[in-house]
Amino acid sequence: MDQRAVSEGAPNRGSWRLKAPHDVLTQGLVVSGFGSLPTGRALFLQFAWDGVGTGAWLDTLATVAPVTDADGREARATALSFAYTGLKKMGLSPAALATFAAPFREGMLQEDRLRRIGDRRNGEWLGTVIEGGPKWSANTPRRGALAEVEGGQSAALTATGHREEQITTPITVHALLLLYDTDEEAAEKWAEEVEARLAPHQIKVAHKLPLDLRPDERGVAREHFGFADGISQPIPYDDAAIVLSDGSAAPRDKWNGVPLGEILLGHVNGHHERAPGPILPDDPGGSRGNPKIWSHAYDYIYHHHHPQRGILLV
Amino acid sequence: MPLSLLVIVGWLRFLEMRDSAHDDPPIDEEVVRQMAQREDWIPQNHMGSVVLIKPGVLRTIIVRAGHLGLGLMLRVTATNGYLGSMRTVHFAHWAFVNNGGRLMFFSNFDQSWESYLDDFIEKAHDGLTLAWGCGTGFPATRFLIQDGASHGRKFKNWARHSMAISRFWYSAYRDLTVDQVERNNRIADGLRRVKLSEKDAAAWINEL
Repeated sequence: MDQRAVSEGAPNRGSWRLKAPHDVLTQGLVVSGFGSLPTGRALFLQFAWDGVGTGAWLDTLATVAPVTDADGREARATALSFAYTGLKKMGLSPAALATFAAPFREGMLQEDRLRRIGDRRNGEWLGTVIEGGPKWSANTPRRGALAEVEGGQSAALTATGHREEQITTPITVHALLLLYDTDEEAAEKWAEEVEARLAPHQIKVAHKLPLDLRPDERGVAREHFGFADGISQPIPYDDAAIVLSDGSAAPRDKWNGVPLGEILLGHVNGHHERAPGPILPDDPGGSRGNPKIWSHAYDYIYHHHHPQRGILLV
Repeated sequence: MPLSLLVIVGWLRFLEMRDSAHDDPPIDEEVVRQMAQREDWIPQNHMGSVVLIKPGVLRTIIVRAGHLGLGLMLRVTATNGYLGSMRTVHFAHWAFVNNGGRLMFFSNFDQSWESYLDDFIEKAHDGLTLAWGCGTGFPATRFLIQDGASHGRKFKNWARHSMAISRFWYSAYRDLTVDQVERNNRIADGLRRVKLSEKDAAAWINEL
């Protein structure tokens, strides 16, 4: 990843990359902001089918916008992430879904989480949130009493009788597709092509946002919150998986260094263990008989062999 | 003397290697939910925990000496209002209760319980292991301060397992973080001083 510092005179720490085979098992977005591709589109995908769908759309996606891995620069780039409700609609079994981390299972609109991050308290949105509340989310169902989770979370009561607040956004997003290209015209054309190719699979683009690198007069890029590229940039370290671009060993940065496992499952994290990821059974279709889904989707989603291939959206 | 020390270290390692540690302490999800429902209402949170202390003569001596030494050391080193590099801890209090058979821990801290424990795990796991390693089921330790709390996930589960739901607790400054308390203290200190140098005055104005 490019580690341009925004402060003048800051030492050049060089760029890092993932070693093989981690580079081809990891989405490119994990190691790069695609600085050479200044524009793009974010497509918020909604699976519009009823019941359990198939993974055939991933084959189609691979022909029109294959997910970019981390083994080098490409002419254009794609990143894909899934929400809990998206995986559920794609037929992942409840047993496998239960092994994902709680924030992913519960979503960003779970009431304790909203209070913790300072977005909502006592039933009211706080100043950190746009007026009227969020427009889109995965619309993850609220948690019910533990005994009822398997049964569909219908009663939504905990043992103390507390009923969690169900917050629903107007737009439901099951997956996020990010497309990066060299110019606006190409990006728009590509996005339209992807949308048209996914439509027969009952995948709807529920929301669309333009992506723009927006470099200022000094060449410093700012992301959409306005933060300059490079500020508080974590520099991951992992002797087994990370090297500098020239192939030499990557030094551990004293101030900005973080263990790779903090951002990539399957590697050692700040807790001195391999960051645990979700576990899928050897037969992902299981008794629900959906092996077809996983023959398409398996490469994209974490599992016990290639846990870092997917990016999850909460 | 060296021989005695060697014997004590050997005895300690013998005990540590025979300790049983919870690899996966049972966590009652319902209780955790009830704890979470009571957390994050103000900038601070509270943690209350009681654990059984491992039995034995050597343990009894070490745990008391360790806590005494840690307490004395912090009185000398933590004099600026912060606990080392952690700027989120209002207070952390350990006490031996139940005739010395259990260790009680109370703490008020800024931000979430998860980030509080992460701070300890990543920045001060040695001290935490020394203070809490005497607890039954604590993640396996080496030479009193190594390993232990650095096994973050096991330690967090163990800590949650040892906690009780905080139905009420006291905070002197319920709407302030440690940083804000310290800043207010620096402002008040400046007001009390009869004279300020130009440099001190500039620093004081910066606090406003």
